[in-house]
Amino acid sequence: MARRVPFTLATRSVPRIAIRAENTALLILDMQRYFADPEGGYNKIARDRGIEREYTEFYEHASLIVPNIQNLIALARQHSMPVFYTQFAYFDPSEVSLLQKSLGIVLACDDPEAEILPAIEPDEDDLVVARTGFSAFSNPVLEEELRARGIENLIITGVMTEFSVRATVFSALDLGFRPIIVSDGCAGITRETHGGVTSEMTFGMTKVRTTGELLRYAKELEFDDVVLI
Amino acid sequence: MRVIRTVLGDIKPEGLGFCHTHEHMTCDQRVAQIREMFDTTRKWNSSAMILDEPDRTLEEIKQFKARGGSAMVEVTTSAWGRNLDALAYFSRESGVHIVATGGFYTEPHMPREAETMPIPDLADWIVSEVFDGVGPRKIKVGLIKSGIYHGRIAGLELKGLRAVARAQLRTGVAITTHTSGARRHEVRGGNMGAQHLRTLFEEGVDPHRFIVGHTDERPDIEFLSWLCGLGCYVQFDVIGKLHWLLNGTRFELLKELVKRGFRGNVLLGTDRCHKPEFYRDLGGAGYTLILDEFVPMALENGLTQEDLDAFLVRNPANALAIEVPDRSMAGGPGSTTPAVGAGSITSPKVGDGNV
Repeated sequence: MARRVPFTLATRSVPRIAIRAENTALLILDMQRYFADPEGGYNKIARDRGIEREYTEFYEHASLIVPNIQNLIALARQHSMPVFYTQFAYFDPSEVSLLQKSLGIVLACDDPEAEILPAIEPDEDDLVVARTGFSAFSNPVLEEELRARGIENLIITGVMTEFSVRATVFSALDLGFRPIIVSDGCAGITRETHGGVTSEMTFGMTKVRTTGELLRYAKELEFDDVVLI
Repeated sequence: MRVIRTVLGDIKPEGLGFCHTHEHMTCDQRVAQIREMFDTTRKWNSSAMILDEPDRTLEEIKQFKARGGSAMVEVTTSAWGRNLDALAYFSRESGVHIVATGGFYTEPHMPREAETMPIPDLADWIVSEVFDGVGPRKIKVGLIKSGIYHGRIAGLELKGLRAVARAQLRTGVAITTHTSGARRHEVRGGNMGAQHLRTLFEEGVDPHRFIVGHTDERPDIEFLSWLCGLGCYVQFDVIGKLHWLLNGTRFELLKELVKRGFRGNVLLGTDRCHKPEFYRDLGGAGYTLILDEFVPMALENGLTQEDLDAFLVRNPANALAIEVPDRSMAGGPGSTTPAVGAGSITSPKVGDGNV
């Protein structure tokens, strides 16, 4: 049964936001081999422990979001929107965090397990941000780069909904960005919690939209400078 | 003459009885036609709106009747699993009056033809659902619907709404509405009532013929009062779905609406549309939740029998009644439209019948 989370019954309705090609970026969270590839390190540990079955649902979901992320990358390129990728990894050994150590996931950004899935690999103009916290903003470089480009809206995709996506959305709200969670562009460790988190995140300036809806907005941008959603 | 148009023919309003004004009996999102907006990673599991087991549904309808229920409005529109043959079968087998619904649900669930048909033709389509009936048995609808998925009424949904409004003016049937739960946080007042009214006023619809649905998903007493003050019905139709709102909160809101003079504006329903919440052998509540739980609790929490009679008997009869010329009561004496033939319907499969 769905959970009661009555927080937003007594908050303001989410205002409309203006999407322009110049103020919007695509963010692809942690679609790296370790997490998003069933042959990657995370699932290998599960296999070694005899519990791989626990993650069948996640990897199925993760595979389904790849074509949607591909479509959104194409949308971003068409409209010259910047594309940012994140890795849960360190850039410099001095950055290794207590979180990484406590999870046992200590990867360098050039580790094969930190490599972005080939199906959605970055172009040379894309920025890949290695960070060691749950939130993409735990590396301040991301905020700096977004501000430098005048970005206000973040189209958020990737894994896992309950952790990096959720943490990044909260940070984005704290920093004054407007997150747009792509409900079929993110995958959760379970479908149940993915659905719960995406439905519970609709407050503040956060929107939840499907890939199909975003593609429709992009079509409108071909005829107008701004789309209000 | 005032009548209520059921799937078995017209009845007098005083014959309606205890009535839920928002339920589903057959529906299937898998057959929705305009699906580009759908979540493409979605699995068609128990979380989807699929009611495709008519025998089980009939059993639940019979339980509703056995507990004292008399009528239900089935709000599934065409293009996503409406089965008017099945509804007529259910009504005949159970003795429950069933009012079917025309018009449109949300954009993904609208008929593909709606994309290219002009508004007057769409209006004609809806009028035909009311006056001529659908399919070889000419089963008629007694209510029409506008469902909104997006946070603003625009595009195809606006087109559908204008067609519904024009059909309302020609037929007199009431308009009922849906606001998508996913968007309720983006809409002032928690539902599309105000936005619907803007267009309905433009089209000349009387607000007394307008039922605002899903008002207990994200309610605000001031907004509800404003709607009622204009003459609209407000429908608490997700009763039992406690993740939307506690029943205790519903009671407080209903008492306040009564206190403010709006007893005559309230309608109730439970919007059963997913199997786990519906079929009792899966742990669901069937259609008897209001009778078995909500009504007794309401009486314990300060609502009166007079209030509940209004919400569940008088108001549905008023909302669903339309004026017809004295000799045109379908199915009755002097009718020019034959009623559904006795024994002409056997247990149908969803998808086989008239949509």
